[in-house]
Amino acid sequence: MAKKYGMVIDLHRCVGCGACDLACKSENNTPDGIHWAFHKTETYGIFPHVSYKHTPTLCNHCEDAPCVRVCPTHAMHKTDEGFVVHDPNLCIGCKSCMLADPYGVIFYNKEHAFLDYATDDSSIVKGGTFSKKELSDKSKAPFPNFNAARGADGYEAVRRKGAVEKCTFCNHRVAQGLAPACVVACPADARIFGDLNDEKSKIATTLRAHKPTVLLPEKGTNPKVFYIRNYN
Amino acid sequence: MNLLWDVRVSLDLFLGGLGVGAFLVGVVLYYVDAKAYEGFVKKSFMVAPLLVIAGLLLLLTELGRPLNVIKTIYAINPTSFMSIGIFLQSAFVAVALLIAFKVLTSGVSALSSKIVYAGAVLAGLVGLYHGFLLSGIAKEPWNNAIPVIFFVSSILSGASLMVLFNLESLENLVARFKLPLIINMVLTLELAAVFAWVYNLALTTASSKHAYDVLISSFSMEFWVLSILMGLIAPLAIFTLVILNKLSLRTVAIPTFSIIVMGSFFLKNLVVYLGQAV
Ligand code: SF4
Ligand code: SF4
Repeated sequence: MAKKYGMVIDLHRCVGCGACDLACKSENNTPDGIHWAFHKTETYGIFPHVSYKHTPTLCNHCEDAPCVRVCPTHAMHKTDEGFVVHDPNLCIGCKSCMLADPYGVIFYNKEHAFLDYATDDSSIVKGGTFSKKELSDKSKAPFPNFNAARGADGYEAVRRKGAVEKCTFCNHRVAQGLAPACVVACPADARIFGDLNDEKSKIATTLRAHKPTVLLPEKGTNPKVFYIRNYN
Repeated sequence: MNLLWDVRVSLDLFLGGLGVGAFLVGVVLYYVDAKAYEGFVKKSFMVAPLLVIAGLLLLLTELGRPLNVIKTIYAINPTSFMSIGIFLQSAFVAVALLIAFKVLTSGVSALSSKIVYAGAVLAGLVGLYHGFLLSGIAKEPWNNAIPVIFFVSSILSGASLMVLFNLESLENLVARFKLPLIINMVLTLELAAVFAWVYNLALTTASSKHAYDVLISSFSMEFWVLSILMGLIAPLAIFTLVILNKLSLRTVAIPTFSIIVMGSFFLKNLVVYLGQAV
């Protein structure tokens, strides 16, 4: 049977540290204001009996993905393994997918990429501060808005403005047998990623052992990111 | 409000609707009596593609990567109304430009009725597509009443615009078609469709009720005053007085047909914004 990937987030284990958000930023080099992995927080109750809830969020790689349905060019598309991914080469930047996505996890890149990080070798204090070029050469992450992993599998590595982007479930890592960056970075092992079609996989057994919930089930999108237990 | 689609999208839907309405009214007069209404038909067929093209150009400025639109020719997504709509609009513009060229160079009599028929079918489909573009995204206020509301609004505004451009044939149109009566029937149909839309929002699900609350709290001026009162009820009342011979159509024609056109813009703009506000 073909693989179908999904993720479980155990809210009882989650400590709300945001390591997943940061790991994603660092893996995918997302620019300011663009958060492929994010979270929502809620404070509820009446003082002094107040409580707090932290829910990590990302693209749900929905089975019935409205973003894929409305995209006029198949730029937003589904792979055989269940990843919902985006091809900026086909994107016309119409933002229909953002309007159709009920989870608000697609972002529009309205800034020019900082291409001067590849060329600008002027420094503020000569001999004292890094130039942009030096910084990108030394760190081997050429410049903000550059995603080497995307470039490796045929996408546009540089985020030029005018296209949308979102979480890919780190499909570039999965292709190499690795787990998504957010899963690896989680200090509480709150994230389980794997093949939903493999009955013996950790994700499948975990889903059988708990009553999973999904975000906005009433939207009928059939998400592949499941939540178990409660944050407390 | 964080807007993903701004007024350029509303203007595309409005101008495109005006073009479709103008074209269809031209088609009706062409089939009724192309000779008698030659001037009217000619203007309709010439104005229609220009309006649709103006709307499309505005829409292109809204896209992040307008040059990639060319890729919609081969990367077709049959579940996307936008994908289908780009095809329909291109086909309509091509046919409408051909008709405009023929009319301009050889006159209305040189037109083949087959090409006018093809243009009419495409115009009808494009008129419906404008609403389906929104309802396909499936936000609460963009429900299935929208294609009807937009289509009727396009017919109303396009026809009104063409009457404004052909005031010299007003008497003739009134004598032959009982124009105020027909317009009142279409205005009533539009009011009924808008009523069904609002009623549906107010009563269906929790999220549609929220959309209704936003409509009547944040958009009450645009909705009640500019779209309903000015764009639909006022012309309905004025034309009723005309039918009752209490007013002369010639005196009220310019302001009344103008507010119908403006009301169409306000209504479409309101719907585009409301969908993004909820
Ligand atoms: S969560 Fe949003 S972006 Fe991700 S697949 Fe579902 S609808 Fe598309
Ligand atoms: S913005 Fe790009 S990915 Fe989104 S619907 Fe439009 S073309 Fe498709």
